[in-house]
Amino acid sequence: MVGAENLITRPSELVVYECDGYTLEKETPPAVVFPNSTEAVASVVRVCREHEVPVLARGAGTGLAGGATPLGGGVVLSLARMKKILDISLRDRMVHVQAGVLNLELSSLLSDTHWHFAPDPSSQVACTIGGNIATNAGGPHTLKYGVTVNHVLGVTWVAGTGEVIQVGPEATSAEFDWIGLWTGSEGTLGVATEAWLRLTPLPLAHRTFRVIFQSVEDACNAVSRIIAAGLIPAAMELMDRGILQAVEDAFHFGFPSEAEAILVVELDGIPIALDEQERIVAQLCRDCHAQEIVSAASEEERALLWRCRKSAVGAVGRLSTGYFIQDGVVPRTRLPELVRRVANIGCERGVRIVNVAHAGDGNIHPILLFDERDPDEVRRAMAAGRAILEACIELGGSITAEHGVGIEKLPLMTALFSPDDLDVFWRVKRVFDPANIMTPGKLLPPPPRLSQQDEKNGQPR
Amino acid sequence: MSQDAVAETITPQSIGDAARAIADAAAQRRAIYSVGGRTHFEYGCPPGRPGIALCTTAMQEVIDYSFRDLTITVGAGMRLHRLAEILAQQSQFLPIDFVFGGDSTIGGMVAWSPPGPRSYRWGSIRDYVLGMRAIDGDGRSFCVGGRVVKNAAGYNVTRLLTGSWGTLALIGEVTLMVRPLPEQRRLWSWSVKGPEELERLLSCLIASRCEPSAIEVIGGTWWDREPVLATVGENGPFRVAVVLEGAARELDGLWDTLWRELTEAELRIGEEIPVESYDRLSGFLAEIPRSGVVYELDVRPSRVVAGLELLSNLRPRASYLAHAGTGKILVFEESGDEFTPEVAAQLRAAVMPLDGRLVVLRFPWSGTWERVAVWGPVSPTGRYMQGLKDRFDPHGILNPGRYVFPP
Ligand SMILES: Cc1cc2nc3c(=O)[nH]c(=O)nc-3n(C[C@H](O)[C@H](O)[C@H](O)COP(=O)(O)OP(=O)(O)OC[C@H]3O[C@@H](n4cnc5c(N)ncnc54)[C@H](O)[C@@H]3O)c2cc1C
Repeated sequence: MVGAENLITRPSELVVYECDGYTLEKETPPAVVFPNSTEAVASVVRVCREHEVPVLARGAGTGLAGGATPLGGGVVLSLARMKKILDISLRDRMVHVQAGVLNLELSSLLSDTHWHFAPDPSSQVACTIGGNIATNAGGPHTLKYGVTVNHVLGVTWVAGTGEVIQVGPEATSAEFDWIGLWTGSEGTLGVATEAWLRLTPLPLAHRTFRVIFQSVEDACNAVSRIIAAGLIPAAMELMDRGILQAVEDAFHFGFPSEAEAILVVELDGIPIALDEQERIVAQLCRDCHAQEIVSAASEEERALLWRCRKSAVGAVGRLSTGYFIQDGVVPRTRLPELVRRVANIGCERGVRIVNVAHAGDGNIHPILLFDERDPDEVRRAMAAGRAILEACIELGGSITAEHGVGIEKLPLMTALFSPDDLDVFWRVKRVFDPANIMTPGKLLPPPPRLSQQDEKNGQPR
Repeated sequence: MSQDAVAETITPQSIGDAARAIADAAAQRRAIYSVGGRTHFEYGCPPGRPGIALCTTAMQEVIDYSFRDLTITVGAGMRLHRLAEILAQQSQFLPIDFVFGGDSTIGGMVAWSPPGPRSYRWGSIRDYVLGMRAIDGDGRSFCVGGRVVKNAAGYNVTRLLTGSWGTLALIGEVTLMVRPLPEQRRLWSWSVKGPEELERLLSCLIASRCEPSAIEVIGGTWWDREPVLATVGENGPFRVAVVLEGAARELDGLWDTLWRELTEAELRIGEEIPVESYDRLSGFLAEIPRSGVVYELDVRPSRVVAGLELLSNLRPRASYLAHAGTGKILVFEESGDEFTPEVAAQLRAAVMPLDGRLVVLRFPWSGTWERVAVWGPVSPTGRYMQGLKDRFDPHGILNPGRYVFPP
């Protein structure tokens, strides 16, 4: 079906696939296949369906919720060899790619044009377009440009039935919004094998600056005020003192060591409009007790600032051998309160927590540090992570903004959704994956009730 | 079957009332037709069997407006002009064209999700619905999404319901992401003599870095009633309109940028036209006479010109508004009688080589139209659509006959 060269079964090679970026749960899969066409993916899914073997789609494995971790056996279906750029049509503002293409590759591909693919997860050097679609990935510039779903025009999809479905790139009123439904489904409804992606013009100019605050709360208040003032910057990213220390060690950017929080604000658009916006943002930051506002003086400095932000998580390794990254989201005005609660949760449970946040979206990534060899510390960190998400729910938010539910957040789905809401998800699941072979046991807690109909025919009616 | 088939109207005051009404109807297997402002009831297919109209307009309260978060939750029956007023008080707006006018309800817009000219820059209503409360065909209410601007918990069922023509669930309440209201809007227009010039102009506009909100191609006699949009006489056959939005100074800068790009491409510079013309453009569906036919032709942006040429050959008397940046061409023919299912089939066959899709959005209900003539051939996703339909509306009582599903 895929050829021996596209299959691995040797335990020594399989270890690489035992988990994704969420390392607290692991299991070595029995086999990994590397199909190189949509048809091959469909054959794998069909065979697995016949034999009721679970299938787990995997991009680059940078996911942070255990979505690509092969719990419970089954075949890992890696899209890593589906890396072709199929078409670039600037006249249509569109590229057509296979799902294994890396996010950053699109930027290099388009580097001599004024176009780009807007979703820019911090992991973009490594993560795949298929993974971005499966998790509806965001990034620092989501604030202005939206998440992955806002940039997908078409998809070739292998459903859990083994059927290949192409949707788009032309839109039509005669169909449901399949792209909207599949994006963010974390491999549980099928596999994306190709995508048509919308391109966005690069802005004519940027203003990027870092603002130093005496407290994280002040920084969050500034974010709220900026949004409330009717400005939508391209990005507003927050790093607290803990993470800054790691970043500074790694990149020697020159962040002052006494800074409690730094906000990286980027405005983009037409130069004439940026002057005014920059003035307003600076004033609002000062109103929130900003200590220092420094603009990136050159394109190099801007690039370095972004490198610091995007590599921040990677730099955490300097602080601790073990860590896990949480992903909570609240209405943006509740961010100051959430930050306070995160700090309290850390104190109460004796867990060190450092924070980065896509603050403009109300999306925070507390990073919980622990020593992997100390089971008690791991347990406390896990409990603290859970408490943070419960706080998000209480403040009117959600348990994940962009990393997805995977296995890590599964226990909280019942806290966020009622049994009736979850039942709605199951209806969708059964239509696209009647045999429940696509990444079973992820994203959805077990169904409250199995309809007899589904047990009987195992087919979408 | 016609509008008369829906003689009885109920107007629930709350989602609870609506849920009970639907549960009752389900028990009796009676059809429920959801209606809001009734601004586009004659779009889609006629009711498939007699039933009750469920009017949402009493569910029209603001449930929560967190203007500092740029989110608002309202009852689905709120009319768009009222929503716009409320948002404008905080200098905010929902960046969606009111294609059927301000009397439409937000629920109706979400149920259909009709794209307007500005979807080129702003996206469609799907991009703004963060969450909703809805009622399925068994009368069970459920919530999907939430009130945060980014949410990856569970499936995007909000997107599934948006644009499903009310066939999966009745939308009772929606949470929307809103945006700061741009200070100004300005319009420029070109009259264009032939397809080659049109293609050069569109290529330049689409490649532009000034982020137009809309790039429209206008054609046909419908527009003659608005002198600045007319395409007859010395002008035409095409007119192009470009919309820029932003702060006052920003707009000057954006226009300068576009001016330079056009000059470099050796293209003519458009003339600025009164901003009021935009309402005529974006709201034209609300104005056209009921006897007419409306259909959409979907192609890639690079094939819009070819699509328009084909249209002018086959349907020389049609008027249209083509969203050139997204590839959606909305066509209108004043005399519905001339547009038969055979004509639709012929057009559909003609756009196939362009990978184009044709959907007839409005046709005289007196005629005999098979589903396939209206919506096009059943796509490979048909059985998944039906699978979802059966699970959300097991008795087939929600808007039967109106959309792609057989009644
Ligand atoms: C340092 C770091 C920073 C990060 N920053 C961000 C960020 O800013 N924003 C953000 O959103 N995420 C971020 N992430 C998380 C992660 O990179 C994203 O979720 C990314 O989209 C995953 O892509 P991947 O190719 O690695 O997918 P994987 O990890 O391989 O898979 C992720 C999920 O998608 C499924 N999947 C993968 N490919 C397909 C496919 N083709 N079809 C169907 N399902 C598929 C998998 O089954 C799994 O459930 C970060 C991760 C790291 C390690």
